[in-house]
Amino acid sequence: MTDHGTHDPGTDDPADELVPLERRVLSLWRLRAAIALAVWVALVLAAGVGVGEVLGGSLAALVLAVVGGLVVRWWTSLVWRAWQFRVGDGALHLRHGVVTRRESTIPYHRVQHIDLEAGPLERRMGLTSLILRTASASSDSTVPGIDAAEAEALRTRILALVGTGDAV
Amino acid sequence: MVDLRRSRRTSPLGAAFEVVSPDRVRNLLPVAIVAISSGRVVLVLLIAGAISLVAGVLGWLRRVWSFDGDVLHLDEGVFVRNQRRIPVDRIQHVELERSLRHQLFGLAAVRVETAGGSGAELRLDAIARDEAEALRSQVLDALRTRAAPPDAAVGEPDGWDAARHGPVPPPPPAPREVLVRLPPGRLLLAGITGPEVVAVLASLVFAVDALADLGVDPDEIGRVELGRSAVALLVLVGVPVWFLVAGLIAVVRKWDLTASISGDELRVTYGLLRKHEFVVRTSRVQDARIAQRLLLRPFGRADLRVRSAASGGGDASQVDIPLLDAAEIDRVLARVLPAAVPRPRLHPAPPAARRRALVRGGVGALLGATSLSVLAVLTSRWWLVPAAVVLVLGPLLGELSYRGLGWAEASDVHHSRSGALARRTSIVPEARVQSAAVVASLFQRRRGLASVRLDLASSAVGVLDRDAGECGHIAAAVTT
Repeated sequence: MTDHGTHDPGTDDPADELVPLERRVLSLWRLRAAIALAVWVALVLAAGVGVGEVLGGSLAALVLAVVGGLVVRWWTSLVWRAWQFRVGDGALHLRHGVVTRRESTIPYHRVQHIDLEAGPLERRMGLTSLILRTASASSDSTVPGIDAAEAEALRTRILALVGTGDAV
Repeated sequence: MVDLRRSRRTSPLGAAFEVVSPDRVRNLLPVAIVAISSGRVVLVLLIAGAISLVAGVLGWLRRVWSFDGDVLHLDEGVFVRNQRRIPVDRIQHVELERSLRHQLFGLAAVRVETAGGSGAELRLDAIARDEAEALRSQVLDALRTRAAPPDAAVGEPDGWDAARHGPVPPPPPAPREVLVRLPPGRLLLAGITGPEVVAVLASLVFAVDALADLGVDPDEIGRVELGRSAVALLVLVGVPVWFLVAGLIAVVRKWDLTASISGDELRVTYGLLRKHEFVVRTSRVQDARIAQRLLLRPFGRADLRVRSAASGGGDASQVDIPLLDAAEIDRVLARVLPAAVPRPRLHPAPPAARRRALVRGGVGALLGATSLSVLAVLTSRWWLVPAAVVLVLGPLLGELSYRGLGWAEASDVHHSRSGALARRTSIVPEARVQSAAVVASLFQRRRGLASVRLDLASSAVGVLDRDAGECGHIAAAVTT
């Protein structure tokens, strides 16, 4: 076995059908990080004014904005590129993580209920998070951002496959 | 009959309830402090009340639910919108709550519980009472009709005439068989070698602290001149007393611990002052864990823990039976998780895992020794002694933690062991695994290693540091 990295625990499909997240998710993450960064830049500026070092404060804020912006751009694209998932016939497969790689398998017959969650930014971008809840608190089963309409279709499809019995 | 298929809102009074709910009132506490300190009590309280009311109304407007006989729908959330769909067979039970405020307005709150886990509960506060009752009966009906086919066999026996003989009597209880019963001596030993020792020490520290609060200066205690013989006496008496107290605590808490089984019902009773009775159907047991304490490992004694899927953790969902020998463990396991016995020989982790453990122990030791050496340079040279000890112990612990690793699968039950000093072996039936994840850190990937996390309704169990390909196979096996 040489394909450690791509080994797929599912038996229903070949391994190479994992799909990336929507490109919009990358924009969403960047937007979120940009907002947080803007708050920090504003704080640095305010602190500069507060201690009477307007020039120094502005310089620090500028450096923070540029360096922070570059780091955010780089890191988010790494995270996005590492994220793949597949809605298989019998289970949801996730693969993600830049430093620590996780490959999760959530069989549909273990699903207790399904959540769709979307914050204000996500709604504006037509995205939603799909969360399969199992009886285990530690299940890693969130797809962070798929097209809202597609998410509804997926939910219907998965619910149909959940089956009967209490699955615990 | 109330038709619940149409989407509906909860009662508008629910929004008002929320404003006066204990949670909200607690949140208002800081507001009240601001109000009183600023002197504009009425204004601040009015603003806070208005915000709370608007939030309540907005939340109510967005909360819509329905039940179509198969799936319970609940959409809610003002900023973060959450759409929940709970398939009816995953519902564990439905509870109606009617507190005073509900009774006053003919309302009820419904709590829908699914198994363990996170986000497992759904609560509909303040819906009309008839709606709540309809929801409960329709959910229970749906559950019953689904459960009926496989259970049909346990109906009335052939030739039973309900009209003549009345309802079928319950079957006579199966005889109860005692599996293990712990004598006080063993409980004492369990306390002396268990977590109680640390607990007693902690309470000693707490007592000294309390003395300080009472005005006794701890420094003064230290300054009292004690002769050498007095110190020796104190240690000679104090340490045994400390351990004896720890042992007695265990004896009192686990007094007369008895594990017995009747049919498929495991019952563990224990306790002198507070009596516990842990009863679980073996069909509901999620997993078991065998924990070997460092000091008692050479004697082949270990603690057995049995867990259910109940939420709450701790005593609510598990029971510990301390210091069993191998035969006793097998005797209990054979009844609780029959497929787990005979326990297989565990396969050691691959050599790459040993290298990783040694590197990890070595790096940790280096960091510790370095900081201790800095301390030696700054203060006293004596700090070099513990630095040297740490330097030796680090790799040793690494080697031990590698030797602790082991995994095997037999009759669809996974046995996974880890731990450098105290070793724990988790026993997980495949049928209980909710989902699985293969996790590999940067360092593991470089050595072709990975770990598997088995998600259970009780909690997660890890299979650590195995060949990455093997991890893929384990994850595939438990999720099909």
